[in-house]
Amino acid sequence: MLGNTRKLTRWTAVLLALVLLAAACGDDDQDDQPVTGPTDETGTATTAAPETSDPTSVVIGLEQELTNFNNLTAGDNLLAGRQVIRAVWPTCTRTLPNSTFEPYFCESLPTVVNEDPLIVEYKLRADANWSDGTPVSSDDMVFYFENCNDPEDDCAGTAGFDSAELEVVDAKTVRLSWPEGQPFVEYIALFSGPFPPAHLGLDWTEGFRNDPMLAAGPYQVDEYNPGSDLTLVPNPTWFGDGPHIDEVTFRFISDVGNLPLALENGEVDVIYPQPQVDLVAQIAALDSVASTITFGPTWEHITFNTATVPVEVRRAIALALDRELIVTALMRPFSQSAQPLGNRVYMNGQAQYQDNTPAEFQVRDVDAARAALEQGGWTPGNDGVYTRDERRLSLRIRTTGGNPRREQFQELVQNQLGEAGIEITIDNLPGGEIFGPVFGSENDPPGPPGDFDLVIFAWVGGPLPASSTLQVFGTGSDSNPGAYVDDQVNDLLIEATVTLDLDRQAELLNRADALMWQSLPNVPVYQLPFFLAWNDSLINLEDNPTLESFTWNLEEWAFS
Amino acid sequence: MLAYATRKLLISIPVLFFATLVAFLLVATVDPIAEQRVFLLSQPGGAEQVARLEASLGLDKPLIERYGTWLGDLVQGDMGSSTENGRAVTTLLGEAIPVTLRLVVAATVISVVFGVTVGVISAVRKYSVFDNVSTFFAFLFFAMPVFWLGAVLKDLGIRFNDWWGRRIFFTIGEQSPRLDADFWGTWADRAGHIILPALTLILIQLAATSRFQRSAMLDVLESDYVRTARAKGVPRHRVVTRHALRNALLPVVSYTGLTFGTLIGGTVVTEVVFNWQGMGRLFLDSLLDGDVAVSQGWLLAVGVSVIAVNLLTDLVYGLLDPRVRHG
Repeated sequence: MLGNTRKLTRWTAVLLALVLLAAACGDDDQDDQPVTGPTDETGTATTAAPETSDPTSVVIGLEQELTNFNNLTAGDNLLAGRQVIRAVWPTCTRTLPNSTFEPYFCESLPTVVNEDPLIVEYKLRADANWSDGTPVSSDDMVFYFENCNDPEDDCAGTAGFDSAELEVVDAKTVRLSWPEGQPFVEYIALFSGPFPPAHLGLDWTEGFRNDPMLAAGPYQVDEYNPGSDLTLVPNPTWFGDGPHIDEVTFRFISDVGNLPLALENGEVDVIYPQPQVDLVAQIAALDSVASTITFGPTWEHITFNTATVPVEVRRAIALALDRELIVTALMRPFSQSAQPLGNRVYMNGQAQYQDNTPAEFQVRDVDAARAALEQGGWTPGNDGVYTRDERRLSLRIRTTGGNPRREQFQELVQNQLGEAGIEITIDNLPGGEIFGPVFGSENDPPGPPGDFDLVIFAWVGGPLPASSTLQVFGTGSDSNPGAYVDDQVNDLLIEATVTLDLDRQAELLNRADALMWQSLPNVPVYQLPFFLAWNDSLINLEDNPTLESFTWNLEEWAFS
Repeated sequence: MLAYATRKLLISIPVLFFATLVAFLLVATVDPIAEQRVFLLSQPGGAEQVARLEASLGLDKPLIERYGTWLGDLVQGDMGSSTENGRAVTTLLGEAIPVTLRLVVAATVISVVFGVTVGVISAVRKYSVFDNVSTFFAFLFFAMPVFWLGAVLKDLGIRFNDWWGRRIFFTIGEQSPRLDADFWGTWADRAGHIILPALTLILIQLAATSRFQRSAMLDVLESDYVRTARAKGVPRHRVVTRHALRNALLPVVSYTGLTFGTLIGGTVVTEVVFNWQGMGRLFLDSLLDGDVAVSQGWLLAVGVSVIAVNLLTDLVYGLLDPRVRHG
């Protein structure tokens, strides 16, 4: 019997080895299907890092996959797309991590030719060429403009183009002009989405969906296996320095839980997941892995419905809130450097940022909050909750249900305001459903805006905030759900949107923000973090919390 | 045997036809433009736009006519295109099926070989230390959630790699992208990728298979003809391997056929945990994206695979038990 068992074991081992061999050698047709780009990598040797002759490669784990290489269409404007294509297609300027601009494919920052009516010139570099040798030209900018100058067109950002006229000056230069008295002050950011080649005559929306066709940036797409991975190799026609990495592969790993282990096991070199406290702690414990937390332009706040929450109550709430404690509880597990946000326009880290929080709101003061309510005619009831004219000071706070951070935020607000005699009831709807009743909806269920007293959500700032700030706080704006009205603020915001001098614009916007701390449309609380982790033998990685994201300087990455 | 196989094949045809109907109805009864409909109907002139959209997707036609069109296209090899990325459903299935098959075949073969071996030894040595230990581990693995077992194995794999000083086990994907290696290097890379997800499935399947085999073997070992064979002086190993095992394999063949067909539908959790782009992942994504054509194609492919595996199981049954062929 034992002899037979041994024989059986031997045969079993042989069979198992064969099964594994067969499984490992299974057919896979995806291996040899380069989507685009020449396989001849002539020129890569001259652009590779000089310190090593061995080919270098980096694998980046991305949670999301692009849906179209043309990231400028309305349905495909994903950050994941931008993270890939920005290294392949041209942009006139690029935004640096501190939210300032520098010329990229343009010779210089866009030049103002005339102030009123505003005429701005965009001039591409003479040495900027597509990988087929065709110059990156005015035709490409015309293609971009024509697909984005009408709100009905399939373009993710029509602002600025929709009121402009375009004039081709020469093969590398175009001018945009706006009607007199209607300057587009954010002209610097136009032509800064990575744009596709026009001379191929392909359709804007569908022509580049699965294939970028050509490259002009430091890298070109060498192979794309949808659902699995995408590989970039150096583009020999790139005019700039670098790139120093011979092969950059993006692996699409949709389950965020897989990322830390893949990084630990060396299967990926760089990850950029949505930060979660346990994930950040897990990465921090790894050897040979560097990471950064950057606080970006997305900021969370408590917005008031000014129709149901009078100004003295808003003041009392601002006084009774312990923003420092909220930041400690929700943001400092990510980074000890997290601070309460003191500005609604500029973010901490931007050159124009200043903390406009008045001294009285810097530190929590429950007595001052009670005094503010009593000055407004509110009197404490038997249960400690204030009342006035038989109205009990009970307010509904709403947010996107199912988001643990925001729910915890609500609970902290509820406790803190409860101590000041303001009763808070939590009334959430799952996920994005909350935005229907907050902003008003024509869909199901239809309803007017403003079905809330307090609401917690996030706004996304940016390097050029004048227009978006007017949309959020301007009188009568659709994006002003609390129906906030302050004529002085409104005038300053309107003036900012037609002021070309960016320093003067920043001064106006900061003055408007300081005034908003008096009339309180909302209370800004904190910026959301971005988390970048990488194999620490890689150098020159720096997160860019603007739309450029962490691949903004991919051509500068190298191995130490 | 040929007549038996032909009979089974002919029976499969109406079942296959029924599978196409079920695959079509399961998805066709869901409104693919529900969101757009709500939005458009709230807009002026929205009703006309909804009508145009319905006409362009063929939703204005009776269900039976739509089924006929779909079946006609299907017979010509056209299963439609994904609404998410515009790729042909046949291409997506063609990419996902080999990935899942590779995992499922490896896991099934290994778990059957080990499960049968463990089950037979446990039955022959009933209540021995081996029997008790294998029973303990069978129940332990059977009770483990797949995602947890997968995560534990990944962690152990990484610890092993650290200890060994070289990456043997991989935690994501079916293979390394752009691998530039010779035959053995490619083999090692794919083996390194398949071991952990396959082991996850093996441990769970092994538990069930070994218990089935043990139980079936015990029944057979206590039957009259086995006792007679022993009484005639047939050597014990010959009684076990020739007389008992052949009959005791029948329930395991049925069980394996059923689970294999189900597994081809996708080892969703295992594929998510190990980031494999197989059938499970394809179905999950199609559901999340509301990708009707892909969901229909997936359902049909799984239906066909279940029918094919059941047919194969019947044929193996016929080989193992001549009574079935003549019944």
